[in-house]
Amino acid sequence: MEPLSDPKWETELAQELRKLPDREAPATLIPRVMAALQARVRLPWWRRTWWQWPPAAQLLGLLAVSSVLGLITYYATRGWEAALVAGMTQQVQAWLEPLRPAWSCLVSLANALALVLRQAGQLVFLAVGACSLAAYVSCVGLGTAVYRVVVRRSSLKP
Amino acid sequence: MIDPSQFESFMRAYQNMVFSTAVRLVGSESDAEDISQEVFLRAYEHYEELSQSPTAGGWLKTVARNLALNHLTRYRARWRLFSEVEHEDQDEGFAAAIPAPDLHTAALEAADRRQVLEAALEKLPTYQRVPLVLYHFDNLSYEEIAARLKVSLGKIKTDIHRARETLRRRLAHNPVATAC
Repeated sequence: MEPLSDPKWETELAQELRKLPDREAPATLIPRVMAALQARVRLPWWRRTWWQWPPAAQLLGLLAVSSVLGLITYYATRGWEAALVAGMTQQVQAWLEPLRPAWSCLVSLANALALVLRQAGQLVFLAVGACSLAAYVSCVGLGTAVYRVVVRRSSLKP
Repeated sequence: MIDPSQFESFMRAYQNMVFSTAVRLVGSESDAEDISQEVFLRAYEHYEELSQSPTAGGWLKTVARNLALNHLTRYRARWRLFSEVEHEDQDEGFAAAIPAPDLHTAALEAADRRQVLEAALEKLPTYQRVPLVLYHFDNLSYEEIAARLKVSLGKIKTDIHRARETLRRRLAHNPVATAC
């Protein structure tokens, strides 16, 4: 339902608000902006955005990115057929070989955990969910109470 | 190459307008200063066009408003939660917090009245202040405000109405503002 408004008060308030002068900006604003600009100028070109790089560096960067993207696209579509990639895959597998026992251990642990959860049934999930919800609600409630106390106290200060 | 002293003069000309736009929306001087700084850093990137443009003020105001609203959106969940627990019973505290004027010339009374109104506006809860400021200072329609804040048209009308009522009540508590 649309609230009833008092047109006279609305007009008066609009006039008063329009008459309000601009708030004075803090004296620290201009020095802060100038310092930020100085810091920006002192940054080396490779730490600025690409648009602010020197033209030659922009061109080289563009070529490098295009080359990488081209290579990725090539190997993703046709490169798997190449013998080079097969060799690389074998090499990667050889590098990862020492991690195989750790991976097996992780898989066993995950399977055991899944088995325990399946045995425990729905009740445990509900209990964990209820505990989490209760913890969340009490945090929000406590935070709100503290906020109200702080706001009240600060509003009562002269 | 931009002349730093020229840019400084440009900032000096617009800093109060930019800061006012931001502070009236976000209700915090330190946040408004951060937003104003960001506005001028962006202005620096477009300074060559802005320095020649007659609409530079409008550009700065729009950027300040958008950055302030983005800032509020970032903290929206937080201010929504807490805004609902702020009560109108703070009105008494608000009236008491504003010092009574000690001089009675017409000019000073007008200045005091403006000060009271500005303080009352700043004390409004965010969900009332933001639509009111967008309506009265930025001349946006109810529909535009609802679309910009992504809330229903009915809520915008209710919030602006409540904001006006809160201001009326708060100003009525203060003798300086009775002329409003």
